Order: sequence, then C-alpha cells, then structure tokens
Amino acid sequence: MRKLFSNKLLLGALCIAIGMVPLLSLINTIESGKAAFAESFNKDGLRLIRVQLNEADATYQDLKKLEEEMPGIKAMIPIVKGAAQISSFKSQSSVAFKAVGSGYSEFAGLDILRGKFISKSHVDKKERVIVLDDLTADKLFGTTDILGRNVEISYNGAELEASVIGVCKRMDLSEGVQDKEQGIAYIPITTLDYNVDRYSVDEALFLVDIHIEEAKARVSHYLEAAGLAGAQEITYSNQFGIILSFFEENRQMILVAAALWFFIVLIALINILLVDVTQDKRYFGLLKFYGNTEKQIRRTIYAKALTMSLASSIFSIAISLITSLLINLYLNIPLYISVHTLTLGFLLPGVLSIMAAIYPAVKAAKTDMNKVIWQYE
Amino acid sequence: MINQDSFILIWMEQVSIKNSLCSDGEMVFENLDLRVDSGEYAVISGVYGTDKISLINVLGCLTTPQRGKYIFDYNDITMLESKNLDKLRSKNIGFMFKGLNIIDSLSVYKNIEIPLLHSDNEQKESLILEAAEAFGLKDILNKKARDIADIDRHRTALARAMVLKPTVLIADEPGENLSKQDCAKILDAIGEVNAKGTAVITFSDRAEIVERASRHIVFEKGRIMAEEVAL
Repeated sequence: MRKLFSNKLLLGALCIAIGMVPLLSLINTIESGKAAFAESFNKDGLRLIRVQLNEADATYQDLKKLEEEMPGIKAMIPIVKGAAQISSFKSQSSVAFKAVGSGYSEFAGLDILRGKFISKSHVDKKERVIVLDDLTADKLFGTTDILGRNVEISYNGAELEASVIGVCKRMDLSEGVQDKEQGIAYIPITTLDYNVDRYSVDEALFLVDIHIEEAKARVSHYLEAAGLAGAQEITYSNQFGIILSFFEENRQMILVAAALWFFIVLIALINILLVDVTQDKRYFGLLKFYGNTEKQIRRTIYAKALTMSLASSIFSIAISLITSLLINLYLNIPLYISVHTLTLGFLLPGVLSIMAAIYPAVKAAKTDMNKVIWQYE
Repeated sequence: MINQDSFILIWMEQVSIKNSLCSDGEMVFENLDLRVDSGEYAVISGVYGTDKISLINVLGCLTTPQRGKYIFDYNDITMLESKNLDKLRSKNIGFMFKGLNIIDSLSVYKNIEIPLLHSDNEQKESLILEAAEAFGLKDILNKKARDIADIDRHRTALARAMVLKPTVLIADEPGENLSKQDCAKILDAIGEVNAKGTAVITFSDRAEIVERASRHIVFEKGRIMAEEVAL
C-alpha cells in the first residue's frame, strides 16, 4: 500500500479506473444487448416496432389484417404470454408459455440447441408443435435429445398434445433478466385458434421498412381505427430488459453520478500530480538549468499524465470487459466488445488526465531554478 | 594544465554582479576582473553563500552581469538573448553542484540523461554510455540513485556534468561529505577531466582541492585578494 502511494502514476491510474470500470461495464453490457438484437433482427434496413396490446383485446386475425393493409409492414409477430403445465410420459413441469409467430426466435435471440424453431409453415398450417428450453426438456425427459417426442400442454383450461420440434437455451432477450429456474415453451400462435376458447394477443412486433416515427404513427392510427385503442406503448425495439430500462429510467442520476465522479477524480488527479511536481521540483529545476523551455517542461507533465491515462485505460477496459462478460453470462447474451467502450475507455481518461495536468504543468514550468538548484530557501 | 594552444575561455572585465537570489539585491561584486584559460584548473576560495551562487550564476552563464564585459569562448555574454545563453551554457558548461542535485527516484542512466532530455542529439545514448564508462558507472546504470553509494552519487553528478563534453567544468565543493579516500577519487576523476583538456573551476577552501589546481584565486569581501599559480 505504501508503495502504491509512493507511485503517483499508479495511484492516479487507479483513481481513474475506479470510476471507469463500472461505467464501461454498464455501457458494454448495454451495447452487447443491443448488438444481440441488431444481429438477430434489424437486418436489411428493417426496423422493429413493439406494440403492447394488453388491454386492446386483439386477436391474431386483427393483427393479420393490419399487416396486410398497412404499407411498410414487412412482417408481424404476435405474442401471447401465459403460464402452462407441460407433461411428458414420466414428468411434468410449470413453464412460462408463449404462443408466437414465426421469426420470434430471431427477435428474442433464441439459441436453438436441437431441431428448429417454429416456422411460417407451422403457423400457417396450425401445426401442433412445441419448442422447449433445455431446462424443461431435461426435467420432462431427463435429456435434451427429445425431437419428435410428444408432450401434453395444459393452458387456460385447454389440453392439447404437441410434438417437440426444437430445444433452445433458456434465454429470451425480450424478457431481460430471467428467472433461470423457470422453464419456457413456445408454440405457433395459430394452434390456439382451435384449442383455446378465448385468448387475446399480448404483444405484437412489426417489422417495417419505413421511418420509425412514421411507422409508429401509422400503427397507432390503424389500431385506433380498428377499435384497438387500448394498445399502449408503441416503442422502437431497443428493449433490453432490466439493464437498459434501468439506464433509461435513471439516465439523469447516472449522468449526475458520472459528472460527480469526473469532478472528484479531476480534483484527485490534480492533487496527485501537484504532489508529484512538488516532490520532483529539483528535477524540473535541473531541466530548466539545462536549457529546457517552459513548454518542454509542461510537455513532460502532459506526457506523464497521458502515460497515467493509458495505463488506466488498458486496466479499466480489461476489467470492465471481464465484468461485462460475467454479467452477460448471467443474462445469457454473448459478449460484444463495443466501439463505444473502447473509444470512451481511451478518450475519457485522456481528457481527464490532460485537464488535471494543466495546473501542475504550469507550476512545474514556473519552478524557481535558483531556489531548487542551489538549495536555499 | 595549460598547453601552448590554450586561449582565453573566460574573460571578465570590470564586471559588477548583483545578488541574483533576490530581485532587488545589492551588488556583491564590483569591477571584477577575472580570466580563465581553456584547459586551466582554477580553484576559487573565499566566496560563500549567496555571493558564491551569484558569481557561479554569472560565470556559468545563468545570468548576465549588471555591468562590465564578460566574454565566454569568444561570445559576448552581455549581448546574448536568454535563449542563446541557455544554448551556450548547456553545450559548453558542465556543473557539479554542491548538493549534487541527484534525483533519487531516477536511475543513474536517467540522471546522466537530464542535460540531453528534449535535445535532438542523435548520439544521446552513446554519449551517456561514454560518460558512464569514463566515471566507472557502467555496472550501476540501471540502479536507482537512492540505492547507490555516496561516491557513486558524486560520480553520477560528474558524469552528468560531463556528458555533453563541455569546455569548462564548474564544481562547487566537489567530494564534500565523502571520506578522505573517496574524496581523493573524485578529485582524481576531475583531474582526469582537466587532463583531457576541459577547463575546471572549483569553488572550495579545502586544502586537498586547492593543492590540485594550477591556479588559486582568493577572494575577500567581493574582491580578488590574491592569485597563486602552481609551478
């Protein structure tokens, strides 16, 4: 510890890194989530609108009609959410249940371990098929090698049998942080048409190729005209569960915390560099004595500050990537090394260090050579 | 040691020097005449404290005298701008300070490098290695100055003073605080520097230093009272 305090560069780098690590980890995790979405869905210039339909009482047919009538919509994915009981010949399990359209797996970033996800053909032909997560598959059959096996689904008082066509990882990006103990099952939405008396679509995803604001206005207008005015919250799909919403909801607080951290670190760095300059005043006196200009001496301090910032950047980026990797493992999303993280990781410490070095550099350059060289006070 | 090719390196004529350590300082030397030839080994006694610093500052081209003429190596110091004065000083004058001014946190190499820092001298490294070799520091170049022996600190100070191969070495109380044997070694090293043609001006009253010089200049109350030339 004593050694650390005697090494001012290291201490300064650590000061910067303490603030940089959480900031970069947060940004990188958010960017990872966004990248996971971008890679899975925002392809070919298409954009995604997510419409919450909780109180609108909309059916699949209503939305299908909207899809057909509204120009600009390239695809629509309805989602019905609920809880269901899934039984195999040997066991049963409670799961989060989703009746969806084809393409949902891309939106949710599902990682298909075996078989395939529900296709357009499954939806159109109202096939009784199911995709289970690996956890539920293991609970029901003791293995994930269950393609073609039959399960009983008990949902909303209805019973139906379905054949397993795929097993995916327990990961659904549309849900944010998930309960890892809770299994999940997906069936084609059309299967509900003749098996469940009454259901309404909870959410719909529209893929559009027009400007996002225009698309939102059009969808909103159409829903109103179709008597589905209960539809709430039409958002551009940047939804990344809890972390993103936390960031969005607490944006101001985070910005205030970041500004406060910036200020505190700035003051700390100025003091660290000032102590360094005071301790090395004889060195700066010597530099002056040997004909170095004030500009050259100031440059010495800036170089020192930049070395400090580079050390802290490398350290912060490395630690934040590890932290981000751990968070991503928990959230089941792949690690993405964001350009923002790298840029900010190098830029912010650099700016901080240079700002902090201005006054100490001037002080070093103004060292009274006579006083320090001849050592009289 | 002065040979036949020697020339007047330092020539002060009717020079008046102010106390350079305070802005409104009084004159500490009035109408001073001083001459040091190239390759000469002179020792100056009888100046102390701020008077000595003021004289060294002018002799070493850190400041210009208030009155009179000072020619250093054919350059009229009183006519030079401070930028050129810096250049002339760093190139031609080596200083061995009383307190040595060794930076403890730096290695021996880095200490010797200080006069070359920010210079565009392409032979930087070879100059440093040459100076280190000349003063027996080659094996401890990477050691921190705080970890080396006292005599090596003096050698480092000498190597730093000589790294740019100046025409004159100004040494203030060389070998101070060393044992008699170690002090002799440092004075031997300075003697070798002089033998190779560099003029040496030392400031000291100590007999072991005075006896090595070819000329002894004695000051009293700001005036040269006596000059002794060794035969």
